[in-house]
Amino acid sequence: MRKLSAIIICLALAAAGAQAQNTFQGGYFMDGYLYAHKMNPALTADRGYLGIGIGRFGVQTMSNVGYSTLYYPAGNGKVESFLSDNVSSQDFLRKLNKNNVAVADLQMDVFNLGFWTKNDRFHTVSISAHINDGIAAPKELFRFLKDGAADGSDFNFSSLGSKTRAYAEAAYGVSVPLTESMRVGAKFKALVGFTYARTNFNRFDVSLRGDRWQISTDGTLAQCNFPQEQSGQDIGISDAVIINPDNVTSDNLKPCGFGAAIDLGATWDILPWLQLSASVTDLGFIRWGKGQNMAARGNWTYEGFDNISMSGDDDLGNKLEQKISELDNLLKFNKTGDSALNDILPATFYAGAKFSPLWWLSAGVLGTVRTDGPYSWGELRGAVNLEPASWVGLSASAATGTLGPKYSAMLNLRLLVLSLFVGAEMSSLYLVSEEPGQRISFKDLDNFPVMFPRDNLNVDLTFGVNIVFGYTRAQRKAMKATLYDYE
Amino acid sequence: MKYFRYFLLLLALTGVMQSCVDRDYDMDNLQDESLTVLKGLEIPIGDFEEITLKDLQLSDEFSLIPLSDLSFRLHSTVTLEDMNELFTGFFNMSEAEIHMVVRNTLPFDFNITAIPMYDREYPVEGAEIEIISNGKPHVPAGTLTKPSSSELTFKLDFKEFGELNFDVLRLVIDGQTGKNIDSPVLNDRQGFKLEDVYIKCPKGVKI
Repeated sequence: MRKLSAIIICLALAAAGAQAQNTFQGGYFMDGYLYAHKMNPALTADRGYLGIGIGRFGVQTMSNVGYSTLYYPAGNGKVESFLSDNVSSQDFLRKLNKNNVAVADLQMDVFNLGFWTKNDRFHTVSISAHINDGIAAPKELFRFLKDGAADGSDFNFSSLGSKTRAYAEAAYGVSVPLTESMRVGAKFKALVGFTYARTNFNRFDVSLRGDRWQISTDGTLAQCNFPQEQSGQDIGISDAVIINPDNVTSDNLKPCGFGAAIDLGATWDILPWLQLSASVTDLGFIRWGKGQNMAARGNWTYEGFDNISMSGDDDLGNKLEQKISELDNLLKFNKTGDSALNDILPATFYAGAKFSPLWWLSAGVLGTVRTDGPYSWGELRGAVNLEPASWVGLSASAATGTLGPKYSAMLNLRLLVLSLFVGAEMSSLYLVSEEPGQRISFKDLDNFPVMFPRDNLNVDLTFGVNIVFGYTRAQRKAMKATLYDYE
Repeated sequence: MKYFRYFLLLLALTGVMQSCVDRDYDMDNLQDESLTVLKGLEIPIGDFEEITLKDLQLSDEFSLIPLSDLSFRLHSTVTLEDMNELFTGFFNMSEAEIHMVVRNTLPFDFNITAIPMYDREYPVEGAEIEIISNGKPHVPAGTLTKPSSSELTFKLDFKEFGELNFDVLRLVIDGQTGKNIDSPVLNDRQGFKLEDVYIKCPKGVKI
């Protein structure tokens, strides 16, 4: 039970979900941000750029639960978990959603190139590594732990699930002008998959009645190069939903699947101060050729024992041991066969409107929807951008959505030929640290606290350093105008 | 206007830097020693095999002692053990109730005492044991044709330390016959049986 509790807390706080897809939406409307085309291939960078190694790095977690859901101040500086008797069940359960999701993404671009060509086309080439993880835990699971059988004896955990995917992506994109005010873009992606696992339960019922306990499971695990010690053998539920990094070996770095995806987008400058845009990204799949299917199915019933021996081999301890062994088998994923797995990538839809009343001030509204079963999410974001000089820009945005609120800021600097950006997004301006009261201090970097938002575990951090080259957008406009005047 | 732009920039930066640590959430001071799960849980144990007089005479674990007044005293212990096979630390509960029905066909009036043990052999001190249901841990004598049946509930409360922590529960059974009992009168098929044993954890299990 201790293990189960630890798993739940781990899942909710540390786990990562399958497709947060770090793109830093806070930079969507920022003129100086080089990578808005990651969200809409019709969008362009104002100059050409080259990024090698640290062109763009991003890590993102999103969740509809967080520290303030699972932990509560107990007074006197103490903190206690939701399992404490001092935390009322009502207070805790009303903070939960029917399905509690944590998703995360680590994305590192190892090579990025963007450049303009004479016909006003903007091209991008990139090679990047992606690790996506996710977990879904039903409210029933938390009710089971918190209330137990005191508030009903039947539980349905069928929305428990997890998924993970690690792959490399090589992409070429182009943004093409259709008219003076309209652009369309497409990005073509070749994908090489390294690790994949997805756990689902069609049925996971637990009934704890006084005279009879019953557990029924019907779960599947599809995996390829899954970094588990027992991968390929029978593995337990906790092993199927949490990756142990210690078990990652060189075998997990061998290609295991191949796929392709496409991004499509368009922008329309409907008025000089108003631009509409829409896109869809990651329409595609990875086919995991060396996939493996596993299943955990069965029923387990415990009604006590008959004729328990007072001593000897047939005593209560031995009988229980045998029964627990049957339960272990029920909760194990057994290999059912090898087959190629088709993994449809979760597509993301963007729709935005950007208002630019002044040349140094703009604002935008961006709607984002990701579709992926229990890991789906949507948000509506409002952003304000200040770009008072060609070498500096700042964007601030706030979003609300199915995984809670988010507040982000991004700073973009141009120093000679270097373009640096750093962006951060949090669900709350209140943070949780292992060193309470310590404010963020850049003067004391040795003790810089590792902090998480207090509320929903929505964190998005991105940074990058790129070399920029070529004419700026303003210069290109001026040249174009001159050309028209000359004609 | 130029300065206004820089002022706005500065204001926005200041806003970002205002993010501060919530002092109420000092995760270094996480109290994780007292987590309760599965409130109201009932654990079915089942029925134990009947211990007959024949078994009692053969077993080292039961002693049938003839007394000078021609009565017999029976002393035994029954251990509900290894429950922590089910869940680690399962017997860490703030309160537990052990229910059972004792069916007796022996001509012994029994008293049953419950002793929670830790490390299998050391009695837990400070445990408060209350007998509920019929109020007495008493099982009246019965006969083969007319067995007595008593429903017992031992309520264990460890108020002193706030929770129970034991790995086995020892039931000490003490019985005595009336005087002038002639041992051949006893039929070796007579015995006693623990039936419908289950454990309730009204306040849950500490993990």
